[in-house]
Amino acid sequence: MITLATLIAALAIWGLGRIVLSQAAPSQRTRLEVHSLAVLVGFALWACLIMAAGLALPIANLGRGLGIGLATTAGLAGAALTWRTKTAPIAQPKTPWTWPERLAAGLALFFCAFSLFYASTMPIHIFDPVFHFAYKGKLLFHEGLMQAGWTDVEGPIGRVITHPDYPPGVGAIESLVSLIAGDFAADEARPLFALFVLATGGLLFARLRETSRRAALTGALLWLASPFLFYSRLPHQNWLKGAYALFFGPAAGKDQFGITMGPAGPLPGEWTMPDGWTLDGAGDLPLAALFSAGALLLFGVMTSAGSRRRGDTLLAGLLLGGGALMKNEGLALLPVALLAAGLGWLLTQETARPTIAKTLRTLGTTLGLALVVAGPWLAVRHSVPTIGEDYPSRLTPSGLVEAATSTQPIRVSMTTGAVEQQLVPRIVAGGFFDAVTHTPRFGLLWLLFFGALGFAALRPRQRFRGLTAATSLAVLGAFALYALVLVVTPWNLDALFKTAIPDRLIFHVAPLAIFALVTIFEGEGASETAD
Amino acid sequence: MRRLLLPLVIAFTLFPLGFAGLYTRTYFADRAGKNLDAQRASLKGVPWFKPEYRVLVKRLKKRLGPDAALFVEPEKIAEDEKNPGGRTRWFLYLANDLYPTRVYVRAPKLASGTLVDYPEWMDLHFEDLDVDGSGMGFTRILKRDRLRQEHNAAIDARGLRWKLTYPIAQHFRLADLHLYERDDAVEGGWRELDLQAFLDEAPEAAL
Repeated sequence: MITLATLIAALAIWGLGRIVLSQAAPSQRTRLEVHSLAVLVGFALWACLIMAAGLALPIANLGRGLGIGLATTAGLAGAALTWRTKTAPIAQPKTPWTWPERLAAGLALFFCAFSLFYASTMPIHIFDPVFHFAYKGKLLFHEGLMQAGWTDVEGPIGRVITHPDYPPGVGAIESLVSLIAGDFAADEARPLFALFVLATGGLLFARLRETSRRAALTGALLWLASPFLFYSRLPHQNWLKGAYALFFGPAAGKDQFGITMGPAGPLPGEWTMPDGWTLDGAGDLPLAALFSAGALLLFGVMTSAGSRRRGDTLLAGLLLGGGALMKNEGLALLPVALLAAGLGWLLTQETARPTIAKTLRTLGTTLGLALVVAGPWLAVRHSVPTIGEDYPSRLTPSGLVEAATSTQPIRVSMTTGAVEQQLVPRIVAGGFFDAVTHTPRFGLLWLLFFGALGFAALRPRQRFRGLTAATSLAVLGAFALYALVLVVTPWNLDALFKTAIPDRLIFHVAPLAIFALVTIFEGEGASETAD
Repeated sequence: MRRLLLPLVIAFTLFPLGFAGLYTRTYFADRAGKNLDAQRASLKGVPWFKPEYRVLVKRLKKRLGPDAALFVEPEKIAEDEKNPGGRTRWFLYLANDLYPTRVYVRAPKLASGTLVDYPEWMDLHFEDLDVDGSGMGFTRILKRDRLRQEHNAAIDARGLRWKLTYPIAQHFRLADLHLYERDDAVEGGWRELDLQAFLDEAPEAAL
């Protein structure tokens, strides 16, 4: 729900980001890009600052007055800077608006509004957002970071905390809102999650606008209307029945089609309200937004000789560091981004790319800044108890061989519930295939992405250039990383797949996949006249 | 392909559009204009939103106070609970909802684990510690007594004053819960209180 605390926090997030943007050539960016980046950078920095403060004292002890004072100061400073700074004008299109472009623009605006409405009107209610994320916000707010609530899980009697080694970046954002509200208020922070959607859509539009208006609208709409932002399953397992229920309601669907019978009678939970994982307050959406924005800026610097936008390296470091505060995967994806940036540089024509010295400086600065922003968490992470998941120790050659030759039971039929013992790599590959082809969950996103890669393979020199190549390779790198992690995970894969894994993992690079596929099909940096 | 891409993307917005319509209809039918508690109650299938549970949390939180420490223990597996799964982890919901009142459990690391760990946590209570008094073989009694001694010492060391027991079940009924206060004069060290009467004493103004 939106309250005054929500609005002040939103202003503070944007304001702090806008202050940083004033050091990153705002006059070379469009207004949409400035504000989108300001929001994302603000999220990263507030998460870092709140967690750093949490190392010293409970956030509640800062006092509501100080919280409101800091937040409004940041917001007002951001507003003053905006007032004083001119932004780059959007290049006037040389072609008239076509009807698909008009429709796409209308739909994009509709989904912006719906994201806000959806995030503002649903209490946080899914298990992960409540217990893995908001509970850590409570601890941060009332006890501070790494006090008894985080560590008291050893011994015969103690306190519960699910996944204590998850970074509390989402909890930090909830603590910021709570500091302003005067009491812990995760539901008042939930509307802010819509800003991750809007800012990412804005950034995609702004960067793809350099190619064409059509490219920008395609990319923005693919993101803003991603079904996975709102729900992970249709109201029925059957595709057609699910579609019917979506438009006419589960009750109407049940009336029309009746109840599906399984071998043991009516299947439980057949007709349901679609659920949502990403806008409900988990870390996946913030990570997707921050990581993708940071990587996109880094790749831009690495694959362009001219410094088109001063400060992109600074922003990339801050954003990638912010991603590491939202989920552990953010830290794991950091080397993927650096590697993809390096490969993108290699695949860029020598005359069109920065010098090797500048390249190394860019990579070093990005990594250094990311580690500074993630610092409050990295400083204490080693002393957090690990429960069940210790991936670095499992990702060894012997661990991989052992995992790759082991088997697990996996459900092979949704209808009969039949279970089959299969090799773990086969199960993982099947999970990724199901996720990529899950059109009710992702629309055409992944099919278009892999289709685009095939299209690029036909003429790689023309269609797989620096920025596009780096972005595509980052997506493929993330897929490979997550596949490895799932092969060695101590979790039961069947249980994991029921919680929308690996879909939630590949979602982290969805904005990058969108950027890559649009630039492959529409051309990278092409002008409007190319139409 | 370039010209087809945008129309294709537009066509596939049909599903999220359908969801937007369904969600908006549901919101205005079930939740619009209601306070947060009523909105939560309207979300079916969320165990920790069940109205009777919310009443318990609200009153117990006020009655115990933020500095209290509560020991939560499953008493038995409910007879009608065929397949005790993740939705029966009431200790987890209580730890979150009673906060800042601290909730303590046995084997917290196991309790904090995944659904794979949960059956092991239940086994600790019902197989190793025999908290439901269903009995066990002679050879395991020694282990049970050693475990009980160890756990009781940990409870004493933490100075836990309150204990709440509940049945492992998906349903939640206040009448199935039992509240105890630490009392060394009583056999077993816990004196049962009338939970309903205890909750009724919560100051109305604070609710």
